[in-house]
Amino acid sequence: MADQGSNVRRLPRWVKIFAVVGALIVVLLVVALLAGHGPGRHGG
Amino acid sequence: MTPLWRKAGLVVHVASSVGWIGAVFTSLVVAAIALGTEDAQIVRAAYLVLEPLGWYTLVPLSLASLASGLVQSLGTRWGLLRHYWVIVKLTMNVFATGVLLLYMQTLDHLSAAARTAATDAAAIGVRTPSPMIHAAAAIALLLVALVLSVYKPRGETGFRAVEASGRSSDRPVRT
Repeated sequence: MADQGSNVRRLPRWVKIFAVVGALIVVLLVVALLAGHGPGRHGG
Repeated sequence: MTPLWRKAGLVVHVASSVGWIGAVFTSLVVAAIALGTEDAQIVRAAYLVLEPLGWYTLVPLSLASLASGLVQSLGTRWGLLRHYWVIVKLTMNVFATGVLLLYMQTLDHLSAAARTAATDAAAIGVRTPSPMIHAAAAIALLLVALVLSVYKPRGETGFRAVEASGRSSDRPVRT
């Protein structure tokens, strides 16, 4: 009831999905970096 | 920003962004050719091509896309922080450009390894799926950014750096 007509903006669902996917990608990248897959380390 | 400059900026942004996608597609094909052959000459040629392709097309186009996108958002009513789709697209662009600049070290390394491989077997040994994986991931990311810029999904952050004056001529140009 209190929220009715207020200026509080809800985060769109698509933004939440992008945020979750983005966070997962960042976690994967950190794991890959910790596992030794960094720049210049390929093809040795 | 006048309509003339706004349109000119949009042309630069679309051209650099779409050109970036095309250049990544080229990189993907070259990387796939290198990975799928047993011919040492082709492997050497592919990795020698990937490095300048990165420095002279991917990097300039990515930076042009980022810079022109910033100008477009700051110079129009879309704003930099007013719409979620602009923020998400900017984040993706910064991320892709950053990863590309870091990955250029790998392409430099692969190019040097292909150039200095003393034998055909050594050249074949340079092959790695890494450039193909990175190119495929970049294409996926850039296509998502393209879809965002075409569909412009709704959602305002509530942040207004410049209050709307209500003039219809200042409304965002949908592309």
